[in-house]
Amino acid sequence: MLEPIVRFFGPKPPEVLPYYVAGAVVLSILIIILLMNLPSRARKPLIATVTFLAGLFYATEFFLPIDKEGKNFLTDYLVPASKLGSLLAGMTLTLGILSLLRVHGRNITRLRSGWYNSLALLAAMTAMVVFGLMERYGNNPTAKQVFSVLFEGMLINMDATMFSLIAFYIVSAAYRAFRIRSVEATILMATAFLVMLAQVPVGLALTAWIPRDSMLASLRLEVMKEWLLTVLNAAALRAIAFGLGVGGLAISLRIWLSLERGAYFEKEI
Amino acid sequence: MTGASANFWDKLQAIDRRILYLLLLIVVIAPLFLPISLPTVTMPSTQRLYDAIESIPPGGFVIVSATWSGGTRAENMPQTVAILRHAMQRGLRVAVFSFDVQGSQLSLDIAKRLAAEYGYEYGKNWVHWGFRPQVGVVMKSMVRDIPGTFDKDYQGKPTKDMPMMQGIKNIQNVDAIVEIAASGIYADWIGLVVGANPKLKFGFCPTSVMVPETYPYLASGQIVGTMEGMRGAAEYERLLKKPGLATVGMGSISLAHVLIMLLIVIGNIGYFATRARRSR
Repeated sequence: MLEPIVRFFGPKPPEVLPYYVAGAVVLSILIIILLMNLPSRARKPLIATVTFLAGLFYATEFFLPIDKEGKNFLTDYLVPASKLGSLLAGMTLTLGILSLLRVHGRNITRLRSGWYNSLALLAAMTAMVVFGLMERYGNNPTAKQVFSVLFEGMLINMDATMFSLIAFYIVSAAYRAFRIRSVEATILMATAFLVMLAQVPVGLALTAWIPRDSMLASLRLEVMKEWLLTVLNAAALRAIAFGLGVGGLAISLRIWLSLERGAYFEKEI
Repeated sequence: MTGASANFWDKLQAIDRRILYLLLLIVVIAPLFLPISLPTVTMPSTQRLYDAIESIPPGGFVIVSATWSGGTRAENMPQTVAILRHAMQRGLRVAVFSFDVQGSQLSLDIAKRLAAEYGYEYGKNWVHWGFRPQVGVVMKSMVRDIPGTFDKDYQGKPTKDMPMMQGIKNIQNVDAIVEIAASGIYADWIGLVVGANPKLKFGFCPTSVMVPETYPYLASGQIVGTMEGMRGAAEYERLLKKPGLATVGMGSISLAHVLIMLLIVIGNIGYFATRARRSR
């Protein structure tokens, strides 16, 4: 039933691919124009219908009985559906980029406070996109080098730098905030000390002299840490996971059936 | 108690944050130049992951997902190196990919370097499927159809005819999946993939802060073993008898932990002394 659709969206030979791409672009533009001109009262039912159908596909595929090959009539369409999902993710990325261009472009043209930050953001974004595409599809060695400097020399290292700063804040925060003001705080600190010590070799060295097969072996730091994590911590986390699971199921159902209210679900679209 | 001593206890609780930052900087950098030899104990979770990879016969198929970025490179890179090294030492077929665009490039660099070291041939012994968005969608579809889900490699070349993909149809043909991540992505693997193949070994290499939440799944066996942050990677390097970045970094990590504990103790000494003074 769905086979012609799957075939239509499947891989195409190189000689006809440009026509399909051009057709897809034209079709997308037409759909976007159509959606933008849709009356407000028609938008919500449309979104609710698409959301419901998309959820219904996965739910039905999951719950329907399977044959000897482990399939039901929807199973073969999971991969095409996943590709459609990737396409949608690409569309949302495009929307994000357009939104950034609009907000920061306006900051620059109106010379709003901090406009130079917007300029830096757009310049960096453009450079990354241009040199990224040249690196991927071009043969210019300079472009490849520039992309390497931008991506591996700058982006990755700046990311690491930002993350490393957390260590400094943790030290400062732990020193200022960790006061033994109650029994609970004392238990928390004792536990934290035990786990932290057992996390590093210098701590493990403190009890390394206790033989592993002696009666006192349970006093070794790594044994105590293991017990804390596998017994007490695991029990608490299981309880949290159950709560999260039930909550997740409830919220999924509400979103699927478009029953969710509040936040952006009630905004005029 | 004199005013001077009272002032001292107050100061003990309010050390300038710039001094704290400087102390941390020193304890992190110094051991990198002056390595300290510290005893290591292999935790059961690390040993279990090692044993799981060790139990796969040569030629077995392992998927390594490197969902990490530059931010957690210090922990996740040694983990990635250790897992790939182990798989290549064992002669396993390795497929690498990432749900993070940075992780894709970083894991590719690591895999290329190790492949050259172990004489691994691209397409025959290893492949890189590149960056894949849409975690849930990819996982759900790879259960049924791996060549369809990962139809192209990181360069856009078709993977279907690669020798290393021969015999790989779906998750039933995969021996192990190892996820190296700085997020809770293990829950997606467990929920969508792990249960589909009872023989599949799923290993998880999280950053240290993620470790506690993995224990219920270790206990249930859904995660076969973990490599816990940089310490886990150092333990794994020891098991592989190939000391690397993690082993070197353990000195810094150790001293930073000790510094934090010392500062907490100092702050509390000041707090109790001040409280005792006020109660008199």
